[in-house]
Amino acid sequence: MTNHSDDKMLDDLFGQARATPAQPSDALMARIAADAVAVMPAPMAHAPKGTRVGFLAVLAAALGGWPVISGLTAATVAGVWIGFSPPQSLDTIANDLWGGSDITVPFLELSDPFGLEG
Amino acid sequence: MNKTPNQGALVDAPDEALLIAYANGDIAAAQVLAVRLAPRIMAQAIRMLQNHAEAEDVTQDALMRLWKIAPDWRQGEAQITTWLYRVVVNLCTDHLRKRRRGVALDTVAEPESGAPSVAQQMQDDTRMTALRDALADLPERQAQAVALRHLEELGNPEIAQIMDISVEAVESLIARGKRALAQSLAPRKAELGFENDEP
Repeated sequence: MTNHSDDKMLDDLFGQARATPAQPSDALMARIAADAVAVMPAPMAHAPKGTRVGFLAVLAAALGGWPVISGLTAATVAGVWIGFSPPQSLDTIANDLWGGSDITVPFLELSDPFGLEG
Repeated sequence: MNKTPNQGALVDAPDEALLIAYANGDIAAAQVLAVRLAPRIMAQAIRMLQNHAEAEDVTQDALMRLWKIAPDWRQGEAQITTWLYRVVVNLCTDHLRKRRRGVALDTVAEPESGAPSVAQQMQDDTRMTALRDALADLPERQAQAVALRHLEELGNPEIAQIMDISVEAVESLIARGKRALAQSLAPRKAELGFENDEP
């Protein structure tokens, strides 16, 4: 059994430890976002034509599938989640899609999502 | 960030519903879950580890495990928060064990606005380092029980559920853990500024 002095010491230490501030950084949230995308268990790349598809699924398909998007910089994914500006090269598609989380697209016909072919 | 209509509906959804939605391909559900859970996980980890970088690693690792288990999550069998307490306390004790093996670490020691004096801050840091080291010296199960009781302030029945042991075993672990902590810290009482606290 601990004595009163020991109890007070431990109570003080535990109390101080409980008060330690902890706020996940934006960089951590970006890494978590990248992880969630990378190991997403139901890849939407298999969604049937005309299905409602999320922004990330469109982006992933446009860039070559989920493994590719998981290799994007964490900041890119963080931009999707946290609301930061996306990298310049993704501005166009992001601006088109940012207003709503879901859009309806003919998924398998998305051959030129960035409008680069003329 | 503006909430989309879909996110607005998700914000009020239970953890388990969000996890299942993620397992079915809804990345927005994972977003809401991460924003909800990451601060809690981070808080639990930093209380035990007193190290910001390690606490962030634990937070990322714990959520990665959650994403991976999503398709196999058995509805109604366990609460996600209970599962996470177990995962996080295990990950933290792993980090403490590495520390016991002599891995050098940087401490938190992050200055804050409105912080106390430098001397007070130094003593606070010394105290937290001492507690962290003393926890690292405890047997793993004692450290986990003490942390869940005195850092997370959970009740013994909940700790028993998290650790999958009886309430009596929890009580025993906590009592032995606190006794060992007190013995470990006793030689440092004066350094930690506690002897002056005596009446």
